[in-house]
Amino acid sequence: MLLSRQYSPTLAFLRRNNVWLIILALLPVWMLLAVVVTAFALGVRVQGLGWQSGLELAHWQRLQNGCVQARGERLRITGWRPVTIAVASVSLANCQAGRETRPPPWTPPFDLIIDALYIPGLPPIALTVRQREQRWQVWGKYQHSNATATYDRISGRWSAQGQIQAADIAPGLLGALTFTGHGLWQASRLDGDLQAQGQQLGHRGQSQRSDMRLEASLAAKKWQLNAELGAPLTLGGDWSLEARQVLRASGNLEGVESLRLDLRAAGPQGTIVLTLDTEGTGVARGQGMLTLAGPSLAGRVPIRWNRQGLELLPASIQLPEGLLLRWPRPLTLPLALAGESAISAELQYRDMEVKTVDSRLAWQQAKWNWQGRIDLAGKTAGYDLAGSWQGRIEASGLAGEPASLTVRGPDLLLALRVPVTGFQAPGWTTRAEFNGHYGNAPFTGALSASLARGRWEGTVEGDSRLPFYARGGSLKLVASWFGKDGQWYLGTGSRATITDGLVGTTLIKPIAVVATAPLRVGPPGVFGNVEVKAEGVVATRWVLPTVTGKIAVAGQQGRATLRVPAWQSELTLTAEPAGRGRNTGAKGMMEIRTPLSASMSRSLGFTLQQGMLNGQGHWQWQDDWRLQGDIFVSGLALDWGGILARGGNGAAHIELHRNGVTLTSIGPIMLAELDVGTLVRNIRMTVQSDLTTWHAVDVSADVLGGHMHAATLQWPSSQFQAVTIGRINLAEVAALQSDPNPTVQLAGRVGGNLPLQLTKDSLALRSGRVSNEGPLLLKVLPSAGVSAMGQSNRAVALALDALSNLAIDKFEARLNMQPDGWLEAAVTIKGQNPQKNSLPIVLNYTHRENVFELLRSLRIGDDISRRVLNRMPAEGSRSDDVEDTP
Amino acid sequence: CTPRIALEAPKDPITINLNVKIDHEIRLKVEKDVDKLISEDRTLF
Amino acid sequence: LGLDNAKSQGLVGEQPDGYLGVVKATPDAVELAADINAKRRAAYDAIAKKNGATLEQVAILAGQKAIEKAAPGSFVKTPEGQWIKK
Repeated sequence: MLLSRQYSPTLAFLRRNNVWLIILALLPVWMLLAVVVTAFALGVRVQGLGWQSGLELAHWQRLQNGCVQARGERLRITGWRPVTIAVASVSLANCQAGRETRPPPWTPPFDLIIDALYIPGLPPIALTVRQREQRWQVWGKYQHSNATATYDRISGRWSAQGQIQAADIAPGLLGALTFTGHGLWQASRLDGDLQAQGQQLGHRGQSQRSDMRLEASLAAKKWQLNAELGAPLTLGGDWSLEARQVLRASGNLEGVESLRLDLRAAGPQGTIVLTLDTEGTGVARGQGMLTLAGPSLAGRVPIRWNRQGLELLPASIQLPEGLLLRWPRPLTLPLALAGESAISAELQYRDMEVKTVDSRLAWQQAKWNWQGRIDLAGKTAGYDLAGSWQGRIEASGLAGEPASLTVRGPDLLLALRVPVTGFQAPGWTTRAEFNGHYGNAPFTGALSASLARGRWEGTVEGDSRLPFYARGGSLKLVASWFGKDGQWYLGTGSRATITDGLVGTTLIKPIAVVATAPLRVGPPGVFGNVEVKAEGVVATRWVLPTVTGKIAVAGQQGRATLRVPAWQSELTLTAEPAGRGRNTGAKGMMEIRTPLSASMSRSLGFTLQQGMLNGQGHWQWQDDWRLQGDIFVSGLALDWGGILARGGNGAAHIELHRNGVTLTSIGPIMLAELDVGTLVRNIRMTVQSDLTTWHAVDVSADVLGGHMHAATLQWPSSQFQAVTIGRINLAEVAALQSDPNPTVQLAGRVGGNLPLQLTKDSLALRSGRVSNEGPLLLKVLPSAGVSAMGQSNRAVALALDALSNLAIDKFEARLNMQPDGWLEAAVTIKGQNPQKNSLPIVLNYTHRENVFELLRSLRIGDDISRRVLNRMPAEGSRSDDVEDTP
Repeated sequence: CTPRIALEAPKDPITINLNVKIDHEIRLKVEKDVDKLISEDRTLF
Repeated sequence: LGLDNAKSQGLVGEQPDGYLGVVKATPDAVELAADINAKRRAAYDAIAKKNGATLEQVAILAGQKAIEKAAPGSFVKTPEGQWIKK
């Protein structure tokens, strides 16, 4: 033995009679050693060996020529007679090494309890193994499914049976699968038969149920399998699967050698038929076809399969929603439970295309992930799209760099950056930033999106600046959005505001547009109602108060009803596209209804006091503006400072276009009263104008008790245009002097022709002729002024006496008036004085006065200083008119 | 015999020349008001 | 912004039509001009009604006088519509 003699007596004592004690003490070590040696022989590597109420092993692995075939956690040996082992988890991997199928070696009796056994492709199974007298019993359990198997190492016979609940395979599946099998398993042979029945298989969503029968047999390392479906198997979503022929497959331990299946899946979108066959017996190679047909499915995909996997040859298939999926290079899908495959595919939707670039699909049992780059290019709604994204997609969501997308149009450039980090199930939230320009208005903003309550929704904010504003005029959009049944909506309360700013020298106050109900937004345009509030416009000479209104938009058409509360004006405007193709413009109807008030007149040369204006017409914008319509004015009253006009009524047809305006009265326009100092009444005319030159036709008015008429008048014009006057009451003419005690009394009517020159801002008269219409009467009334003049000059007294009462039978006046208003009238009067026994008198009377100042003084009731010049010639002789000015 | 007086209308008419000129001093008043406005109202001018 | 320093800053100037014009557009200058022009129009209207003249006649008369009285260095608009410094 190893111990040396010179040890102390205690050791010696031990040595002499306690050898068994040592052996006994070493027993656990032996056992341990035995276990380690056998484990090592079995290729088991251990770590974290320890002892806590029994041998405990934290991790262990079983290697088989380099490939980790099995791996486990927390293995504890909790009993010795027989050995009972409890393992927390064991996961098996299918190493590609050769398939040796030797039966398990001799082992002492033992119990093995594995809490979770991971077999590739299966959910974790709770497994219990008991081995007594070389008879192995195995119980497996997972949720409601369980299976048991027995193996007698001596005879080599094995048997197995179990029941698998469909719900344990996938939620929503119904029915159960029961199987039984038995056979022989010896060092050189492994064979057996397996029968399985599926009862009442189906999907919760659909009522139909079906049965399935499957038989498999294994002999001399060759297996065969055939399966048959009773009735179509419902898969959910109104889809069902039908096996049109019995499925036959056979192969050896290396894998599949022959395969024949003919499956047909049918659903609302169409049918998918998968047929696979074998090229020859035992060649482990074959081909097949995947054919899609139906309302929104189409395509034929040739398939080749071999032991390594399936190969889908290049093809293109039509999918629902007009999607077209194609792959230029064959897609190889290894039939392994974990693997990786380089796939390249192109997805086409209308005229947009998504291409994968060096993309790779990898999967590990049920977990899969895709990695690579996707490029998008194409056109939609007239815009060019280009985008790309590099990253990873897993069942739970996306990861990787933000995706970038640019949208380019004739006058739009939009660049979007969409981070994918938040793009995870179930919320799929992201917050994309965008910038670009529309026309030459730059914009930036952010759009948030998430999937909530079964619909896509989020917010969008955008900032821009309207280029035609010299200062200010920044546009801000704050909106919520959501998608519903394939349409996109801006939520109620979405708001676009323009801050106040300057356009030229005009200040435009803030404008706000608010959606009062969800607005449908899409390629055909915007549909819905918005409320508008513009706080007004301030220019140096006029101000537009707050305008409020509603706009209803339906794609290309729109209707706006606007109000200016301060003026109680209402404007209705409709718009729709006009013309086609390149020069599509716009056209529509316009209606206006507004009272006329002083506050509207700030920029006008006159002040509107009262009146009502109604107008309706059509406008059109092709290359330039055109508007034609009728306006009706009633009850109009206005003033030009001192000159007042009342009772205006009339209608006119207006045409507005690039090179000006034409205005044509509809029927006569009338003005009841025009007070220029003396009242001109019942002015009527029809008018035609381009707002600079006015052509009046059939002009008439009542003035000074008589009337005036002109066939046509043009203003402004340098021509002298004929105006006839008649029945003018001389009494009223005399009254113009508004002398409190008039010295002269006139009676009788005169008429004549006054050639008027209507210049831009004045009036002139040349060689007007007025004569009496019938007898006139002239009286010079005795008054202080008159008698005063009489004393000073005998001739004057005689003249005044003669004129005291004159019956006129001939009155001839020649009138001229300068543009400055100075009137010169030369009047020849012949008559006789009945009180002087019809003494015949000839009166040559000249009158010089500024008519404008006369009328202006009449307008303000100012008194007039009067100078009467008198020269009385000798009796009975003609004398020239002599006149001197004061 | 009785004396006979025959009043005959005098054959020759009397000719009277009368010239009237009327002046209004309205023009100056406007300018006076405008001058007053411009010089006095510092907030407007 | 008072009228005097608006004029001294060259933001506004007198025009022949009797109203204030904006030389250099700023929101305040525009609001000031609009306000003053409204008040001037009311004053001209009162004078016109008092004297039986038209609003335009009074305004043009006021324009001439305002330009004559404009401080040197301030802006005035020529009949052709050009802003010049007096």
